[in-house]
Amino acid sequence: MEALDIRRTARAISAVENHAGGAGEIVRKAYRAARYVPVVGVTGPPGAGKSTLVDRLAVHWADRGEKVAVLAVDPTSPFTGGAVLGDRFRMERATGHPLVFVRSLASRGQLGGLSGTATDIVMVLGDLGFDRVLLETVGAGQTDVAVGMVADAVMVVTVPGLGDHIQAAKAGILEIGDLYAVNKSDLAGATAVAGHLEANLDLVYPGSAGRNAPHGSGTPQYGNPTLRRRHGDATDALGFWRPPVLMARAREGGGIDALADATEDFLAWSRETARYDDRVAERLRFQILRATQGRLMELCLAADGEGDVDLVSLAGEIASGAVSPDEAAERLIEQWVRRASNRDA
Amino acid sequence: MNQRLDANSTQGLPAEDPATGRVGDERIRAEAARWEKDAYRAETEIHPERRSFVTDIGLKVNPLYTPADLADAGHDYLSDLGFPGEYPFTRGERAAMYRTEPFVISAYSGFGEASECNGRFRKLLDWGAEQILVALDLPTQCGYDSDHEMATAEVGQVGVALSTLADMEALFDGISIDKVKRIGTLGNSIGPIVLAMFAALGERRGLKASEFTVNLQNDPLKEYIARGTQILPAKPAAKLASDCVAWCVDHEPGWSPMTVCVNHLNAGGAGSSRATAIALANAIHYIGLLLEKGYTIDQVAPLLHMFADERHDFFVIIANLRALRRIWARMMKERYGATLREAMALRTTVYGHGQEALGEPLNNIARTAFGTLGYVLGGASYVYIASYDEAVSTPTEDSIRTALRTEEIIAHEHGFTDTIDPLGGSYFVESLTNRIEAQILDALREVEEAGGALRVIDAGLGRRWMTEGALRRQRAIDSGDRPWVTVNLWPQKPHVPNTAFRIHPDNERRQAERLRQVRAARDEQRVRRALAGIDEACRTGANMVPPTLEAVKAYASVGEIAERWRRHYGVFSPSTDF
Amino acid sequence: MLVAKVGLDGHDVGARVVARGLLDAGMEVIYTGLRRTPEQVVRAALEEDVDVIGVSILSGAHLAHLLKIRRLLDEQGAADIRLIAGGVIPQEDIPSLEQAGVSRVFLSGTPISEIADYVAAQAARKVS
Ligand SMILES: Nc1nc2c(ncn2[C@@H]2O[C@H](COP(=O)(O)OP(=O)(O)OP(=O)(O)O)[C@@H](O)[C@H]2O)c(=O)[nH]1
Ligand SMILES: [Mg+2]
Repeated sequence: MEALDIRRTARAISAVENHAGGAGEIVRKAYRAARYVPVVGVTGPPGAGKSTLVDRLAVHWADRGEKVAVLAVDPTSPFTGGAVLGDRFRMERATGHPLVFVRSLASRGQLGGLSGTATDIVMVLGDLGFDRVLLETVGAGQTDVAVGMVADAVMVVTVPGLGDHIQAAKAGILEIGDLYAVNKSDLAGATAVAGHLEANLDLVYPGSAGRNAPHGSGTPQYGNPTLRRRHGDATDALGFWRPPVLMARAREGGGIDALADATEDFLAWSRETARYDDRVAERLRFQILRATQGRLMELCLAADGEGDVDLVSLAGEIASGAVSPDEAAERLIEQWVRRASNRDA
Repeated sequence: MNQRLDANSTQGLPAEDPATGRVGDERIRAEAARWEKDAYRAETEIHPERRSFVTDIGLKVNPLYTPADLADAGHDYLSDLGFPGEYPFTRGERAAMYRTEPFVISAYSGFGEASECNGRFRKLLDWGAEQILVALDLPTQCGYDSDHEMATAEVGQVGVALSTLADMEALFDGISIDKVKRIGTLGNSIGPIVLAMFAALGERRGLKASEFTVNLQNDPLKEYIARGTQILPAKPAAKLASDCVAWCVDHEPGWSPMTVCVNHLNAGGAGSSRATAIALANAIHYIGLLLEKGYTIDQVAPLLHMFADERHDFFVIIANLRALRRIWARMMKERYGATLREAMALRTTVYGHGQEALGEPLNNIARTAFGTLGYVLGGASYVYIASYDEAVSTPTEDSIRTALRTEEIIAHEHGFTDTIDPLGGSYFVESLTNRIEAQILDALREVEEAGGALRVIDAGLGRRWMTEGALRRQRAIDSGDRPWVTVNLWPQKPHVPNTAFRIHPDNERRQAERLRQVRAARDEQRVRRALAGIDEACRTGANMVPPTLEAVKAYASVGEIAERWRRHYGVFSPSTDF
Repeated sequence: MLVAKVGLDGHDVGARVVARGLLDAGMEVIYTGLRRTPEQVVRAALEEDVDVIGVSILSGAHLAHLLKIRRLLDEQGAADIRLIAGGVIPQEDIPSLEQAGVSRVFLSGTPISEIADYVAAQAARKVS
């Protein structure tokens, strides 16, 4: 088994993260290599035991000979720009394992969100020879939606004692899971949480946990188009997937094998039914849009002030109520278009 | 109270009470307000106050205190103060206090390897120390033997290495432990082991338990937020600590197997009032465990002490100690229904500190002397004092002697200890005592509402208080709000002088050598049996002290015993929050 | 920036105050928590690609731990990662630490802004 090149991997990630010189080449090369490795996202509320679970899962796969990269995302403070990157030291087993590489990422509130850079980083990790990526994000605000955009399999972690489960539903967490883990099942109330989750899933999915054969016509179809794209629907000829709810005791290492197996099963099903390819395609479309957005902004900013439109005076006009931000953007773009066509002429 | 009052200002106010001849509080309040406005403000408008006078615990200090402040605080002499040795013990835990014997002159000391350290102990006793608390090195405190990988570079560094009973025997070789008032150690995370070691040492010497006194800190809960020697998760750690108390209630009720600590929490940033509240919550947790086992409060409470702490503000030191005794007494009586005097009269351990600085270390003699004097004026029972170079390293022989002499001077010169609670009745100190009492009780309520001692560790409230406070202190120093000579007044470049004490370079090797010899000579079968007894107690939840005593007597090592605990209870994973 | 505690020394207020100060100065800070081995610290520094490792030591075991971290960094091709030390370190140890590749020693009592400025300068040095 070839050892990890820690230094090289770390440097490559930093370059992509900082959009440093050379990052473009690293990323282009990675997409050309097209080594798509499974990305398992683990999300859930703060303190649910995500890091502990990721620690166990990483070691589970690494012990089977895979090279595993763990990315742990922490929020950047919008006030200071600083970030506390605390997860890696919650991963005591993984951080010492010869086949596991652990890296913290600050969300940095960048354009396109975490998912843009994370997708590029994942591609780079595949190119560098990693066989699997685990991605931890806190399920609050927009990051949980983003993890659905980056990962091939999303594991949502919940715990007993959070109180209001409607809250979880509201936060959109029930719409992104390919699997659900009820962690801390050593604590009281875990079965109730699992029951509650199942009941919520019943509202959306027919059938039983995991792979399901087609239910034929007449079975009600469920709503959310994203879920349908990812999990199939009841009448689909290839069958459909109902997210399983599994119990875990991450701290003691209980339930890990079953979680890993269920994840593998989902990934396999997703590939067999070509749902996986749809998912990758969706991600790549998003990456194009993100890159377009970034590039367009760069170009507009480069044109900024060359004609009569510039950011400072536009902001002034918004403040005085003369234009709306949308109209201001419109004018910025128009200026760039004018400049570009002048040059062509 | 018969200063002449300005006739104009007293119009319309009640005059002297004809019965007592005392000036009414209303009139004093009005006069004080007048003085502050006409005299004090008049002057400070021209010459502004030097700074805002705010104590480390956030209470503002007024320019002047009068009887009106006592009245405002609802001060009631008989119920708030009473008399020394009587409920609520505000004025002292014993009736005669220092007039029969001054506080117990205590030394916390230890370094290197046991036989090297023994020489230091003998000197301390020659210089007048009446109690020795053994400083253990970090590997020992964290449950590792001197030859364990985690012990690298730490053996004998901040205390003496203690791996087996053989080390203990060497440590006290030639010292009559029955002639010393108390001996003991911290052993916060290894309470049953150190308790067993002292018990076994006495047994070897043919002493009955009543012939010598052992004092342990044995307070693991604060380690998780402040001091960092934790081994196990907090819950089993607290259980093992309470086992020591239970065992002493049954076997050696004259010993002091637990000292619940404020000091590290305060030093870490919580501030003395919040630190006191967390310590009280910890005490409540330990007491709860003991009551659950069927012990009564009157059995348990007399064996518990508290280690009070305040090191920034002299008068807060005094008021904190007095408030703490009162809170304890009321808590024991009202919350737990204690009836014994000994259960309600809190004995306090203190460690005289000041804001010690690294540079110009001799200045620390003045700082620690004032800090210690505060504790003495507050009526502390067992008094330690920091050596002037303690911020830098293990104290040298010179500095530790100077420290002991400072205590002796406070005990015997200047008349500091001639009358009991000399500041009782001071307008300032009494009003501070009341305000601090209220502050501590508020913080305690907050801790209990958050779920008590264990939840405070889990949920991070304790660490949050500490970090907040530490940051506040740092900012106060950076901004000059908290004056500090040689740091922000007459600043000197930070500098750690070379006088720092160095342990003998050979001691790691000598310690490992003794450990090897002990392991070679002991009865392995007896060790295995004894360790199996520890496994058994882990499983059944029986008191851990008896099997530990058996293991210690069989020369099982600290690391071997702690390893059994680790295997059964798991280890605590440190927080990475800041 | 990686703020580390190595060895058994459990006093981490200083380390935490420094970490917080650097965070407030807009840095991405990783604090290791207590009781790390030099191996763990170095592995973390490499994987996280930090510019600076700050080690806080108050137990008198500073020499051995710091030297080991430096050696491990150099062995793994990370001579460019700066190592700084904070805490209580006697004057006479400072030259040997500096000789062995510890870039700066910040004694207890150093204003945090001074440390933040130093770290920022190191990060900038690496980028340019
Ligand atoms: N009782 C119990 N506690 C657990 C279990 N798994 C993790 N924990 C504890 O839960 C706490 C939080 O664990 P983490 O893994 O840091 O949780 P997290 O979701 O990554 O937390 P953030 O990254 O801060 O959002 C730790 O104290 C863990 O030891 C479990 O199975 N049972
Ligand atoms: Mg986490």
